[in-house]
Amino acid sequence: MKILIAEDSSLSRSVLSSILEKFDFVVIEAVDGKDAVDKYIEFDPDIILMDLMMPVMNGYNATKKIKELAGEKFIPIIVLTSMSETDSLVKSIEYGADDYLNKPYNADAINAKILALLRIKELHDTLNSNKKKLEHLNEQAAAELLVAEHIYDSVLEKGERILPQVRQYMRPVTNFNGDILMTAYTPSGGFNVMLGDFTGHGLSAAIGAIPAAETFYRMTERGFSIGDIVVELNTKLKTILPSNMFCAASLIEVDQERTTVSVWNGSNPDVVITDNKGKMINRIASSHTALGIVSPEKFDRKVDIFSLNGDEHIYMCSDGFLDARNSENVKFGMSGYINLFSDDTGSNVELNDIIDRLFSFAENGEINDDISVIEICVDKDIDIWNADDSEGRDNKRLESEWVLNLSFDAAALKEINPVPLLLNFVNGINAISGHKERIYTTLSEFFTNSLEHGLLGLDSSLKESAAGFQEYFSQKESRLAELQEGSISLNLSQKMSETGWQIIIEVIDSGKGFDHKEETLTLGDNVGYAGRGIPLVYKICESVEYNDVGNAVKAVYPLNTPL
Amino acid sequence: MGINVVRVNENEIAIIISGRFDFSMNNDFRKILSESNETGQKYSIDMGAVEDLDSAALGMLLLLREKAGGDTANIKIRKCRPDIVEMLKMANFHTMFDIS
Repeated sequence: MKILIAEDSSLSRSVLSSILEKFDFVVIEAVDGKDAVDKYIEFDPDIILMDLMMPVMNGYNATKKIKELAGEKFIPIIVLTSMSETDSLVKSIEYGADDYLNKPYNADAINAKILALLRIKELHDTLNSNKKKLEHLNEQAAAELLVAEHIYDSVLEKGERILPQVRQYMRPVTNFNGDILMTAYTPSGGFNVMLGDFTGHGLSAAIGAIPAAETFYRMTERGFSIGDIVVELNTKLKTILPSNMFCAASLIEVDQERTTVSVWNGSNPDVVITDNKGKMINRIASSHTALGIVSPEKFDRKVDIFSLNGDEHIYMCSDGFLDARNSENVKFGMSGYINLFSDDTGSNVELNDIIDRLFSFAENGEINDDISVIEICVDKDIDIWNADDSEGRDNKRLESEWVLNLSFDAAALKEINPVPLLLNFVNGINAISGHKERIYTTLSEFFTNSLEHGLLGLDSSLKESAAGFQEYFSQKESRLAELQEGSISLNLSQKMSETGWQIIIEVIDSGKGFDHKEETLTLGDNVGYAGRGIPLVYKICESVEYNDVGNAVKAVYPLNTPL
Repeated sequence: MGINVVRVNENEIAIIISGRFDFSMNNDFRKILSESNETGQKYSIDMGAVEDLDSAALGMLLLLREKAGGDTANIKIRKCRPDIVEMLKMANFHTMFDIS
């Protein structure tokens, strides 16, 4: 241990030195305050004994100077005083001294005091080095969080992809959100929205977000239903995430005609549907486990389907919204959330009102989690063909004739929806960008009719009431499960006609057929059969012809249709 | 506030949790998991004094379930307050745990 003695009296210095050397200290001597500062810099002692009254620089200033030089490092300074000098003692402590010794000196007392201060110094040094390590780790964590944030933002393209009919409020609790919002048009002009809430807020959320975003966008673009999407998401996240991590998620799918909404809610708060006056008409509580928990065999993909008028609003939120607390530590809770939509005033709630209500509730309280609230305005007047993403596709249309005939039996129809698969195939060999949505809609409407009416014999009049609507879809599910025989053929071809290239779409089923004349409805007259789907097809295509029985339909779609 | 573990008998471990069941209990919870290695272990979790839980808590329960044999796990969650039951139900945990 090195000890610095600053004392102008040579007698006092030698007395102190001899005492300290007896206790095995290495002694460095300074003759005044300035000398003490210089020796401190030169020898870096462990502790300093400082006389107060010295020439050149007094002990107060030397103490102050050394403490300044030491910075965060702790260098104990013991001032040497006489019993009577209470004032100077107080002053020296103010200048930064840590303790004092009274003259005349007692060897054991000096040693004890020095040892006590060295113990404090050791404690201080340990704390200081821990603090530095922590600071370093913190910086490292912050740097890595920035990387994660970058990945996260680029994967999600930071809201650039958010559809115009979706309004969002997302408030992350750390630099970035564990909540993700994704929205995309389906090939038919409908749209899918997913609000996910990953366990944790940082890196773990970013890791899960990458495959989740990739899966959501790719499958939506290819026309898969949200049922298919959640199956895939669950499988992916189950594989990637550790077993204590998962993603609570709610997904909705609105069809191209804005006549139905499908909802899958796995562990998120209720999805709320309000009418055009802001009154709640449906709430869909979580009925599934969050994504990434259960094995693929046990996963439940079942969606609930509701009919829409086309002017509803749909709300989704993450559980951080319900967890906000007021000053009495009471949660906003599900009831607070649902109450937002039960105003009798008849005024339309807007997203801003919802946020205002939450924040006025949580004023003086606390908000500990990421908060996300999403409002989806189902607006049937928004151009449904906005979906077309012809950007970035430079492969040219193949100018040749081709024919594609596929047939699916009952067993196959239970397992897959051939429409997106088929369309992707066609798009792959023959870039039909710009026409994809229209061709998809035509093919999809024909296929749905063949399946639901031709093969399953479902009664479309059921769909005229809300209760019947549910019944229709549950009948579809059970009849499809029981389907033993029957088949559907899908024939697609490209031909040159007098007016240019055209795609011929033909769908034939093994069913009894139906009175297709009822289907020649106008667009506005949309009650009955399959919503407005078929009338829309009449509008899109150059011609639509049923055979007499009504189990085969053929449409001609001109590729020179203005987009 | 915290977690207490009581070995009821050779096959059963009782876990008593109180206060806010959240990430702060992660270390204690992992310790319980690492200490109970045998298969076929039954667990009963007394959540009577749990005031709140978050997704980290749900994650811990999932870890315990995995440790106890996944789909064959025998885990009872007992005495939950109604709002806690509601939260567990929202997460669909009543399909994976025996909750009352």
